[in-house]
Amino acid sequence: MKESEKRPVLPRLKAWQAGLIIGLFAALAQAVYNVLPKTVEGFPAYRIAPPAYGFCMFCHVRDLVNWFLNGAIPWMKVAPISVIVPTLTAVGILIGGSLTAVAVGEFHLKRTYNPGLGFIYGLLVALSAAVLGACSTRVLLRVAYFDAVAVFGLISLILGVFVATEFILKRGGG
Amino acid sequence: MQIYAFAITTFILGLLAGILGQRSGFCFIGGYRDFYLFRDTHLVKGVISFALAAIIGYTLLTLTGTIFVTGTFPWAFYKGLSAIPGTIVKATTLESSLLVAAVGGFGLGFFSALAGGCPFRQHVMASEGGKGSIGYVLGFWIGIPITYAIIYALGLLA
Repeated sequence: MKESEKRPVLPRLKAWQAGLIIGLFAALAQAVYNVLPKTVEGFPAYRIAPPAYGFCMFCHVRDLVNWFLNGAIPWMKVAPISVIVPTLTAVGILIGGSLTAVAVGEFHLKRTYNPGLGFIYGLLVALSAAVLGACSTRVLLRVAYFDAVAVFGLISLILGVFVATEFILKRGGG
Repeated sequence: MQIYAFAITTFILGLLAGILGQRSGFCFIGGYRDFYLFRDTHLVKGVISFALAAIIGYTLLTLTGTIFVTGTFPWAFYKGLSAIPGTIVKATTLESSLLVAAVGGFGLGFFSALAGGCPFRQHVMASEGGKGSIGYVLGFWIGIPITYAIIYALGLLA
């Protein structure tokens, strides 16, 4: 057992290697949407699952929440895909991340930053992503799909990151 | 039911992303931040390779005719300057969809950088047991119905 702690079962990866594999499969997942019915409750295929929809933290979590609520909140019935099938991307990430962390001995409850503050950040990020219509992952997929509006959104996003970084520096770190 | 093939696919894709994300520390927001702060390119290379790989993937699907909704890639070629559906805010004209993209994009970048990572990275950190990220993920999930309520109350829901 000591040996496996020294040498993890899975090697560390460079970010570009992970990005390459996730990006390729996120695009190829677009083919799987062909199994969906062509219309649901009068919505055309186009509205059931738009293009560049293979991997999105906001949209897929929204669809899953929608599927789970099953129309309990009337004005949330806007994603027809969630009527027919749950999108389990985020669940997969949580399970995959946990299993990997356990396997390499990096899983333990740790203090990172204030969870209450994290809750507020999560809420504000969800609100922004809803307005943009993509999370920071899907905005890249939309750019890769050659959506000019998404390019504009991505530039705005990068600007937001720079302003926030300056803000953190001015405030004096972390 | 063949539609469950879709649920299984998203689950497997998530599983793969979770494993790779845990092993690489891949983050979509951290890339821009580290480049701005330290001119460090480790994470931003991940972002660029993600986008390039996605272009390759979509091109492959288009060439083999297996892409979902044919005749949409490349989007700007078929649809001009319109946006791919996604935003929950009413935006019918080009000006309004650009405004929505600018406001949403800026907010997304700003709050994600303050939180210290993109939604994907936060989910991975939560799965490793980071307490701050667990709070974030709860806020993100619970925030979605709240978001819809806010946009609906403002009368902007599409």
